Amino acid sequence: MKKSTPTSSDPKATSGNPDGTDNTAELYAALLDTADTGSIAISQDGTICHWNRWMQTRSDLTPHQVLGKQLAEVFPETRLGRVSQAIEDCLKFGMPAVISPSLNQGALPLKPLPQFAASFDRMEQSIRIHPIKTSNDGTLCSLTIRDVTLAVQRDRLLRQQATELADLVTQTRRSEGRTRAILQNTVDAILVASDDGNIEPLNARAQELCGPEGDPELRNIIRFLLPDSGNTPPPRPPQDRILTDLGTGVIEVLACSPGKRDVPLEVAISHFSTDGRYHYIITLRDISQRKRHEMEIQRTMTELERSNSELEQFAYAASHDLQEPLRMVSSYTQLLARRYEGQLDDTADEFIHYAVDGTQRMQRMIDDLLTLSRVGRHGKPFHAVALSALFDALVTNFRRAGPTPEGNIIREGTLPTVTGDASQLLLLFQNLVSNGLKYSDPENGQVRIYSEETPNSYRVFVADNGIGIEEQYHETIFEVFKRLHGYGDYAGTGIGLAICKKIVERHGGSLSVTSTPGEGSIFCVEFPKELAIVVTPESM
Amino acid sequence: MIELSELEHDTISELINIGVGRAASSLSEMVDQPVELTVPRITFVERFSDTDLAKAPTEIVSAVSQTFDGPFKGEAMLVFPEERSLELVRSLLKVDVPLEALTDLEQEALMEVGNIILNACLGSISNVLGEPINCSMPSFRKRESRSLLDQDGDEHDAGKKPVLMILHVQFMLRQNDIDGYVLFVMDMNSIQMLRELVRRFLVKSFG
Repeated sequence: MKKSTPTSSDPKATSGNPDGTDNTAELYAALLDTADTGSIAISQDGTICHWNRWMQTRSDLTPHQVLGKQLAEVFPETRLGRVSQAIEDCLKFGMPAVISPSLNQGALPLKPLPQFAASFDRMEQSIRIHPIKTSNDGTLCSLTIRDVTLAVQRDRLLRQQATELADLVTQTRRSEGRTRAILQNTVDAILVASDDGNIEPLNARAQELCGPEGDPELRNIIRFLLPDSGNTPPPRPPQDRILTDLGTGVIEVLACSPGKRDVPLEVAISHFSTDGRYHYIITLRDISQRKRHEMEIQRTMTELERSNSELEQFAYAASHDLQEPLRMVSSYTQLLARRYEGQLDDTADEFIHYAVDGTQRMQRMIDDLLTLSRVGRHGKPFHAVALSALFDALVTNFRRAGPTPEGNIIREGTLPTVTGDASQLLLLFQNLVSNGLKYSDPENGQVRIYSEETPNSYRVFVADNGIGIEEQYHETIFEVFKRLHGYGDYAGTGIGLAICKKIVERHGGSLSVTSTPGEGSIFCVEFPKELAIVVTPESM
Repeated sequence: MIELSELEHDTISELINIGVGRAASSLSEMVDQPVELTVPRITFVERFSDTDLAKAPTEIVSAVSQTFDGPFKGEAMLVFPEERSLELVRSLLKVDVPLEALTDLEQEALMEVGNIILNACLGSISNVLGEPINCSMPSFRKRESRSLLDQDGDEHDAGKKPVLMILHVQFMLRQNDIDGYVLFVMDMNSIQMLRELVRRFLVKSFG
């Protein structure tokens, strides 16, 4: 660019030209050189007649190298292209042209600015081609070239981001669709409640239950069940619509949709917060099936309890009422035995003896039956019972009852403390010990008592060295009136083990036997450490 | 009312078709895919309200406009409903992710397309009739179709009602056809002059 010296002191010198120079062409050339656009002029014969500073910088070609040449000579690749065509149309027909960067990438081989060099090989250009009429009726062609690389870069970025966004939207829609499908096809009804009390069904099942066709009361019930948000609490729904005791954690309600069967529902409530608001997710599960089963079980239980209690009642009444006439028979046969023994003939004595013996056996059987029926009916509340102390008491009882060989009842180690009815436990072990002694050699018979602990239970063993029991009878010996031997061989009513079994069962445990005939039997009483809920003193 | 003989009408159609054909080949070369352009119909109407475009007066249209001056003068326009213009530019530029509106660069590309077609039509007429025409740089407009012809300068001359020569243009590219219009808006004097020039040309050609 040429710099001219202003001579403002001489007004005449400035006439017509503000900067004081008379050389108009030089001024315009200078102006064009300062422009931030490329400027080329092409004369009628197609040769370049102007090439501004911008062009020189961006093309690395000086005016000296290009002036007087065709543009296609300077940039051979443009020979048949859009730019040459437009220049020709401009010179021939005076047609102006727009050459856009999108349709003509890098129309002229110009360098991009250094900051774009990494992503662009060429400057992106927007070119305007104008015809210029000259004073001698010729036409010049002017090319104005703007650098739009930045705009192209922005456009690319915009498109890239739009693509990413579109992908994201597609992805989100797909995953949303999947989630919706899962939600819709869930068997449970799912609803969401916001903290303003608005309840919205999320899936088809929820719509069915809470929608216009559903239970009009259900939303109120749900509102009632939601934790209080501090607003006025909703009114308590009718008692028959909430099936469970509130506070147990399990909530069951009854949905009554008009024209449909009533559906018992289990309600689960969870919560989440989003956008600073609290939401509850309410899941309603149809528990008709479960309810039916529960009712079935309940009915069976009631039935069982009733028949059980009837039986006990019967056994008690029977044995109790039998006692009265038996006592009379027993008293008078005994009286007969005392008064007339030896006064009648031998046969009579024998008959009387059998009658007395029979009544005594009957009396024992009735006593045992009464005991058996009382195990359930007159049980005492459970307490902690130290079995070691109980055994010591038991041994003392045996000693008191009659002379027995020393050391025939042995406690090995400490016995555990269990929860139960002390008097029944005493009866249990007394029966087991006496049973063990009964079926053993009276001289060498020995009963050992010991225990072991398992993770969930205590086992107490009562082992004898008696005659043992054949394996085929291991189950039946616990039944009432089951005897393996004739009355003459071993005394007993056949009820003792049944009583034992009933006592153990009342304590939630189990009674079993292992035995080797000829060597002895081991009875095992197993007490659970945790009493099952069904085994309560009242339930039996 | 404009009364053109069939021969005159055919001649003008032929001139336009030559131009449009040339434009199509330029475009094909530029976008490196076949672009076909046809002009199935040329009509002359006196009122804009008689045009197809006026049937949807509130539709937004994109227009590339160039004024021309010579023995006859007026304004030439390539007009598309906005959506069609988006389709056209994106087909030409092979853009797969469309944005809501034309970007600046797309708008400039549309201007170039309009420039090529309008130049070709005007150039063809000028060349064959042997009368030079001066054209302005193209400019871009986007507005409701009913106000398409409103002059920004607002110099309404009641005596100079414009007459329209309307070319229905079909672009065929990348499996889809895009319909647009080329409008030549001239006053009555200009259209008479155009007709006169066509007559002279016919006399000269066929004696």
